[in-house]
Amino acid sequence: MTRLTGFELKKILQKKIVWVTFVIFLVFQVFITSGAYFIASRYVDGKFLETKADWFKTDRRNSEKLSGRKIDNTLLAEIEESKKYIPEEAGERESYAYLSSDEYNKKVRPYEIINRLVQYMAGGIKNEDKTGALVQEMLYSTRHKAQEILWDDYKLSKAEKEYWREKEKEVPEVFTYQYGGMYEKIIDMSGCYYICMFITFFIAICITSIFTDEHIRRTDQLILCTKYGRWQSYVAKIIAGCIVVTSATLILFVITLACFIGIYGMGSFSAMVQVVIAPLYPGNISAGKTSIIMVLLLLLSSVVLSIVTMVLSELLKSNTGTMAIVIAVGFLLARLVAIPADFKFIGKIWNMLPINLLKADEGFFDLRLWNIFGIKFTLWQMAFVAYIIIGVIFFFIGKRKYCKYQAGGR
Amino acid sequence: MKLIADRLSKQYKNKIAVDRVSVEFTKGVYGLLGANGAGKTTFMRMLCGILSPTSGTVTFDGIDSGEEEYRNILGYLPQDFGYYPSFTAWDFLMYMSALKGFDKKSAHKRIEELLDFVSLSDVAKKKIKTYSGGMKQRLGIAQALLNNPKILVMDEPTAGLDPKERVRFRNVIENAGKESIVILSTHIVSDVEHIADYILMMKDGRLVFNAPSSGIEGSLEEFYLGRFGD
Repeated sequence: MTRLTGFELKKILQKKIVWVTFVIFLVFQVFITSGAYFIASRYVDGKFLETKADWFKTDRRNSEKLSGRKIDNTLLAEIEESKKYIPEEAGERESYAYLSSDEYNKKVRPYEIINRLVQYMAGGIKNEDKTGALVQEMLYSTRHKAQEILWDDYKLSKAEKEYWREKEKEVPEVFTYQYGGMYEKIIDMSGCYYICMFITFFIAICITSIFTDEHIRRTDQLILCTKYGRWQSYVAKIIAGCIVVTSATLILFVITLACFIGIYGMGSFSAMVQVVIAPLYPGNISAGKTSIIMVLLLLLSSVVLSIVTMVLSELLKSNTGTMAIVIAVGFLLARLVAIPADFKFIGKIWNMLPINLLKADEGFFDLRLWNIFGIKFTLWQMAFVAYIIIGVIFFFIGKRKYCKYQAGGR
Repeated sequence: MKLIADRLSKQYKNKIAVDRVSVEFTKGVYGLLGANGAGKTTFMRMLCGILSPTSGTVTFDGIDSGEEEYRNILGYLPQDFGYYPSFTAWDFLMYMSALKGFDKKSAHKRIEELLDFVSLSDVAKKKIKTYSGGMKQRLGIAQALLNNPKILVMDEPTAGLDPKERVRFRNVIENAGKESIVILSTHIVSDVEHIADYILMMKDGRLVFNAPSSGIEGSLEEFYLGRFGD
């Protein structure tokens, strides 16, 4: 089996299109993750203000300085104090003179990121005290109100709301700010989501021909009448396809990770996901754990999508037809079609498609639940099980089709 | 050693490609003759287990053609087949040897012998896409012989071979026929005239002649044309 898999790998890796596609996607991914850092600069009023690299470095420094601080009245008071230095006029606020001033850089800028987070936590609801300042109690109660509004938007059932209220109890009452660094980027679009998108295309272009090439070249007749030409050959092809796709995913991920670490730093593994990317999320989960789960989902979805694609190509006996289905359903439709919240069942399934699930705000943090025999599962928890089941089902459908293949009608 | 095709039929929607063919093969060389479209290739594919018959069975000493054990003693050279253009002859034969269950060491030894036998040793490390039609055909013959098959099925094996290669090929088949069942189909009568122990003739999917070649008086070509000349 190992030798057969080796030869199947050789067949795949000898194709120029595999390498060309991979290199193009690798360049795209590196550009998306770090292009702006190295190329772009910030210009205000037609004058050079700073390079993007300096911008990122300053924000990172400021965030790291605040790391470990509780978002309580003391910090909120400091934020309010910093706001006093912000000009009231919008034009002035965005002028070169202001943005390059010491006042902005020393008094306002250090609190810009935490101020933005606080605004997100309040979910856009204004709930300030008589002086106009946001105080701790109001911030957290406003966050709860914003959560309830969001849950209504999702059309969560009473049971689902109750589930999340219970989960919310596990979240500390007062948040501690920690810099998310690379973890934030892994979770947001530039990390797992883009890799998933590129891998979907990679699978559609490079993996669809593993089985169909044998039929097109008519090498199938030679293979199928050999001792190991049926079941073993099938397994070897599936394993080889999965190895290529998983390796491509891992390489893309490792290079992306290296870019993130270089630009944004490690960040804190234990940072609450609420202070890193999802202020209204009601569960107690760290950014580090979320990143690991998303990467595991990315790897699993790559393997399962590879199996589904290879089996589809064997069922259809067409690599172009399979390519069209994978790109249309796996990417285009998944991204272009949003299922309204009223169609809950379909919406949940739709958001479990890898490309949707790995988009943090839409899929991964989707609060709708699956209720299986009284046990509630989030979409990502259910995805692990569903992906494995789908992979196994397709694997055996493909096995049946391949092993019973008839070399007739030519 | 007995290969039995029992009332073998293959029917496509509105066409019967093979019609109730029953043959018993024992050691020796069988020349399968017939015009294009007579059903030779369909019959051979069924013998190799890569095409299921509509009815009938193929067994070798009681082993069904669908079993792994049957495929283990089978060598097949299809009429029209492809290669992996970026593989070298060595890679290709190593791959086929892996499919035929060889370990690496014994595969190396056997492949060296076969490459020498089909005169491809010098170009063994060159990519197959650089090969001529005849070289590819010889490579195909080599892969069919890899596992010293007890059943060797060859569909138009001499296509693309030059006269010198044809003579060498005939010698190989003659030798193979002493230990195995060799079935080769062709529409070139001279290819089987001197080496076939038995002659089978197919017409419109039916087996119309099955007899030892020694029983045919005069030239086989004349005999064949006498039967199919119309």
